Amino acid sequence: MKIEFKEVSFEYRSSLLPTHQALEQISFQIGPGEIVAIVGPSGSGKTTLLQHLNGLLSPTSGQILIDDQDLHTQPKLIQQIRRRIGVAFQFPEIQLFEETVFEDVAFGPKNLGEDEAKVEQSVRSALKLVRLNYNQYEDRSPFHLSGGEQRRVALAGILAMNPDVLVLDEPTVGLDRASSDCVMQVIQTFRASGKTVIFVSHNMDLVATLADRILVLENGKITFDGSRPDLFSNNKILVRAALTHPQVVSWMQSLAEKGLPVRTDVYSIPDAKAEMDRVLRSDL
Amino acid sequence: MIEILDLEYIYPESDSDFALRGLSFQLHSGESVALMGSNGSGKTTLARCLNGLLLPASGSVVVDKMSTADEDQLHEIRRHVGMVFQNPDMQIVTTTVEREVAFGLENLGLDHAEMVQRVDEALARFHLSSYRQIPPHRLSGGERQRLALASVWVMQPSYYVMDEPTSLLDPKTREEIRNFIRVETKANRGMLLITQFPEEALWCERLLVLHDGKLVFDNPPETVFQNQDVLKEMGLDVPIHTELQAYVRRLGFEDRI
Repeated sequence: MKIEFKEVSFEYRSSLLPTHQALEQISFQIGPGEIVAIVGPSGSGKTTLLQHLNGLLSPTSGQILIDDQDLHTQPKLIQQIRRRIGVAFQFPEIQLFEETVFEDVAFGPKNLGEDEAKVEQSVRSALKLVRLNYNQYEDRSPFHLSGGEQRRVALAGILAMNPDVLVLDEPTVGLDRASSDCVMQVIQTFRASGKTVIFVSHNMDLVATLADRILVLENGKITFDGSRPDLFSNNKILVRAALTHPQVVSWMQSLAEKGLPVRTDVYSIPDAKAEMDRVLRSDL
Repeated sequence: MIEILDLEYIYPESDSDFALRGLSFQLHSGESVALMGSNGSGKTTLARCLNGLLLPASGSVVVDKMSTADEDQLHEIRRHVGMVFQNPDMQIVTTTVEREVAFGLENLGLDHAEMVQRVDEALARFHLSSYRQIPPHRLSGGERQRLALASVWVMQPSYYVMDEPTSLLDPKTREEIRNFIRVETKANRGMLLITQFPEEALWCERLLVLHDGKLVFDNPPETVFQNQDVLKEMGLDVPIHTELQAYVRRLGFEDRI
């Protein structure tokens, strides 16, 4: 699926409050098989942007094209799109409501009109993706699970709809390592099947580990659209957009400052270890 | 001082057994303590015991000599112990930013001028002054998290219990929380910081590690993080820099970095 924003602007308007321009002239294209991270200061418009992706908000001006069709000129298209673009907002687990994990994950597929056997199959494969054992969890109440398990059930509910695009707002907030790893794996598996992931995060280590491409939003405008090395070597933008270096990068930079010839465009712990191995051992 | 003695807690309507199994520790005034544990280890349950939102099945929680088991003291205990929840939407109750910050103060019987002054200070302290009349739902996640903190700070509690208060903040604002902890502890307030980020535990003097409802560590964070393998086993990370440094040491190149 191809998503294109063409000069999208959005204003929050209300009779009681001053108008707030939340997005200004946003343009970008996202194709299949990409993992795109959206970063930027609190209040810069990240969540507002995500809310445009499945028609929860419509632009004040500009166009959103999904596979070259204008989302807002055809009301029926929005319904279709919501099936194909799965969105998990911050703390999606607060929307869990059914009595059992099975019923909660099955809610979407049932609404799509799938028959019983197909629903069960969708639930099984979604729970497998988030690494929750079907037999162990199907009958449990979502309200008696840990925070990490609840988040995974909420994600499974979206995956069970088999969307083409996954949109996640701060997907790992509050999760421990096991659950974070699981969410990261879901994102990578999703992309590996040629689908698209768009996520918002303040966690630069997560962004550095996952994103093929990063958009920086500041005051409702896109001020950067590029790769990890281009962003994390651009101190000016990092400072201005209230961002930091990923910790792996700051570690490698500190070694470089001490005169070791290490690369600093390294984003994961295993890669950092390999790079240190290479440099420290080679100049013995 | 908050003194936790042999605290046990059992979830109601649950067939699983203890959520907390006999914890004892103290949080002193002017002290910052971090609390880590995997999802389901009991962190949030423990936090809710500290101001009497949950009551122990056995053992006790005593805040400045007041036990949470004493119903007559609960109101006073909750003034002493300020809670910042992980999801700010769980504690925001009013319709504008300004009213949200004033909400707790309204029950303290302050005169109008003082109330206005304290609200102004809190809004300025957390960079919310320009949002006074804005409804909280219109704020971003990070702004709502600052609002939740402002509403607790304005009450001047003796202790803060903060459940992942930086989770929605941008990296720069997260650094401000570090400073907030330093300033508040210097003013002799006690801080319990629940976090998933080992780097944040390093902001505190002690680190408690909760696993399966039991306290496994209560030591300076640097000491705890020397036990990388034990922590990994419990699903916890050490700070990335600590891990990379340990790796260099194992390679025998410590003198080179």
